[in-house]
Amino acid sequence: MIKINNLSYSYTSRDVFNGLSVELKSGKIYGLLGENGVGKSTLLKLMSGILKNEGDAINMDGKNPWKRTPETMSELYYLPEDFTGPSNSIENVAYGFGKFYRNFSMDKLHDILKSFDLKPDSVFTKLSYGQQKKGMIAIALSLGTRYLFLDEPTNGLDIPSKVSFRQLVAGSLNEEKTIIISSHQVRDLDSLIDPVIIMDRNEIILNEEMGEIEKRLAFRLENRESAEALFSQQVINGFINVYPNGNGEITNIDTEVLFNMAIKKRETIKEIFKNE
Amino acid sequence: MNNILSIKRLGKLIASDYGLYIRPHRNVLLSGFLFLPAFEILYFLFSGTSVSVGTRHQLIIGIAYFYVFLLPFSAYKGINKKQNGYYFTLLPASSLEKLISMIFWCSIIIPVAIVAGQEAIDAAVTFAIPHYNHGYAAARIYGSTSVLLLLPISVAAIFGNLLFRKSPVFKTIMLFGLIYFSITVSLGIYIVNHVSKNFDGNTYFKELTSGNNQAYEPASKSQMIYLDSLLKTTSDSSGKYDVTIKTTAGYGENGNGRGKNGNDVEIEITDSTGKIKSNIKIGRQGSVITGKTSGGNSYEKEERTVTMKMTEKQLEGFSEKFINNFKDKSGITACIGVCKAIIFFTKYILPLLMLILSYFLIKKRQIV
Amino acid sequence: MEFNSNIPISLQIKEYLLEKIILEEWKEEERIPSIREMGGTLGVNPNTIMKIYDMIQRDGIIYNKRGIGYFVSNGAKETIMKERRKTFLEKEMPAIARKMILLDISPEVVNRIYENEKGSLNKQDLNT
Repeated sequence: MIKINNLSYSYTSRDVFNGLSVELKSGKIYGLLGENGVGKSTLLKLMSGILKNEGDAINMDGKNPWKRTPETMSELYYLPEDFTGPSNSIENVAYGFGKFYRNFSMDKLHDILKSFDLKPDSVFTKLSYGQQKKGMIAIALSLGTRYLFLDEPTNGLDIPSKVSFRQLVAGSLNEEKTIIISSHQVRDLDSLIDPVIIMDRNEIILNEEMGEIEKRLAFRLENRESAEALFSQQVINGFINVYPNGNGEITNIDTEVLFNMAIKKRETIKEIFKNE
Repeated sequence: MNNILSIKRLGKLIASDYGLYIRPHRNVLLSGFLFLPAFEILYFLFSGTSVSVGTRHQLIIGIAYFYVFLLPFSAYKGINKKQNGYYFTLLPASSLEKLISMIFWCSIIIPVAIVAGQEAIDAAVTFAIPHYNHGYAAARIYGSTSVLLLLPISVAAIFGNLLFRKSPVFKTIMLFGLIYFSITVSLGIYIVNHVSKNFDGNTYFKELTSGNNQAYEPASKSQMIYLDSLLKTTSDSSGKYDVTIKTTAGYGENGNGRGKNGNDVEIEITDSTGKIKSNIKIGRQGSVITGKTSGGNSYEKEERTVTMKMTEKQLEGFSEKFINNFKDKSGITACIGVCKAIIFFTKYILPLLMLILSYFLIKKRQIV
Repeated sequence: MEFNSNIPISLQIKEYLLEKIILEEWKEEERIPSIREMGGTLGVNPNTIMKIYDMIQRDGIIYNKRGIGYFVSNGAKETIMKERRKTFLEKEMPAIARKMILLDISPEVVNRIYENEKGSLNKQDLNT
């Protein structure tokens, strides 16, 4: 479990967040959603011990990742959005890393690479950007760390690969693990992420499980905008209107619409999900 | 497993670092072995003779300096910033282990390999073509201090690579250039100011016979004992120089018991005409304290005057021995001491300092 | 599996599972994929899958053997069929009947169509 309490961080020129608090439970795949530049990567890097956090704002199983102890680092892995592939084969790189991670499985790596249609002995520098990304995702998943932070993993992937990605991540989850996927392309992660965390302008607007969202909001595809709706978004075949859920029916939560609503009607969302 | 140092994990790390950082540079490093043979061939073609042992030795060391200095910058390129920095930081090994692995490869294994490899090639050539190369360059290694410089050079490179994010090679060279430049310059200034002004021993005798000399540090006990013995051996009643030596010693008691507080020495040398040839003063004349000090210690003066005659030759001998023993040793000693300290610092302390700082650069640097 | 954005995903997945049982791709007393395997196949969060498994477990369609996995219950197919028959007869059938009356179509016509369909389906079975 990761407990973040009153986390503040700033780059030299600006504040990124001030007093951020969030709790991340195990056995979940979190979607960390937000526009570019809002601080998603920064948050993941702070949780990975990559950015400085001297105080006790971040508590990962009782430890502060900034201390960078081998024990802590062996339980987490961060896949950055920007990376250069090393001049080595996927297999060799995985093998090199895997020695330091308890749950690494070479078999799992091979299975994943098969799903991604990649040969284990392909050298990173000879692959396209998308393929390199898939290679790194494969390695990240095969390490089997308790905490896995993926920063915009679907950027640069073609649609079949995005489908494979969802399947592989869903199949990786177990009770012990906490997976956090950050993205500004919400569509890519639909039905994979639960709970949903929405960040905007230094703040966490929403952090809820799908079940809770389904309980409180109803999303209906209708012909036109509705005055009674809390929020409306135009889609291909009409409008998706969001209503407070009065009668307990379960509707399909459109994550992208939810995201847009959270950004544009921040206070409404906060009000609806305020814990009594 | 220990969280700070685990031999098992260190072993894994050393193997992993080889594959990840060192092995990709294998070809470049191996090409280093070609320099000397290429140089020898060109040299032979242009001058018809073979390269001497000494030059070969220096070339080998020089090539080693070059590669060893540049190795950390290229092997561990960009590990303090984005991308490469992430992987390096995330790797589950302690910062100490990571540093040790870096030192293992960059400061020990590769330097030894580069030097030994080149020496071996050179020895092979010498063995195979004895009339061409004379002498094994490897023999020059023993007692060679320049080889040992490889260690601080590599440490400096490791440190610079960790410290500087942009243009690290250039900045490291500038940084250490600056350090050594300022050390050399201040050392030079110190030597010029402090030493030569007062203690040019070669001209001391001239000054001994031509004017006033005052050394500022009181004579030490051993110097006084020496003076005593000197005076016993260098007088001759037929000599035409009168040497009068007046010593003032302060005796006192301080917290540690009875002890001496400085010796002043005054030597007056007159020739048979009574003309003063020299007047030497040692110690802060009048500095011998008598009476009670504010610290509660009390000192008494003890004065002694000795007169003797010396021949010119004896005087020369006396002067020479006197100079050697009574030069403001403490000043020279201090000066030599400072020089030694600076050399010690740069040779041992500075690298150690850089290693400690490197540790903290690995443990506590943000990757941005 | 392509998801329809109108109906909640959980219901679509439930349909998918029930289809498998009705078509006897998953036979009774046989083990079905675990929650995680199912999530991996569909690319859906295992927690969502878990809720669906819980749902159909409550309905008696599947049961859980601790440490081994989920199995199709005995008589599951019949249970599902019963439920669907009920829905069909109570919801869809009256609407069809009303239309028939409106268009003046007699039940004998319907019978003929039924027999035709049954015949062609049987032929398909023979060919496979």
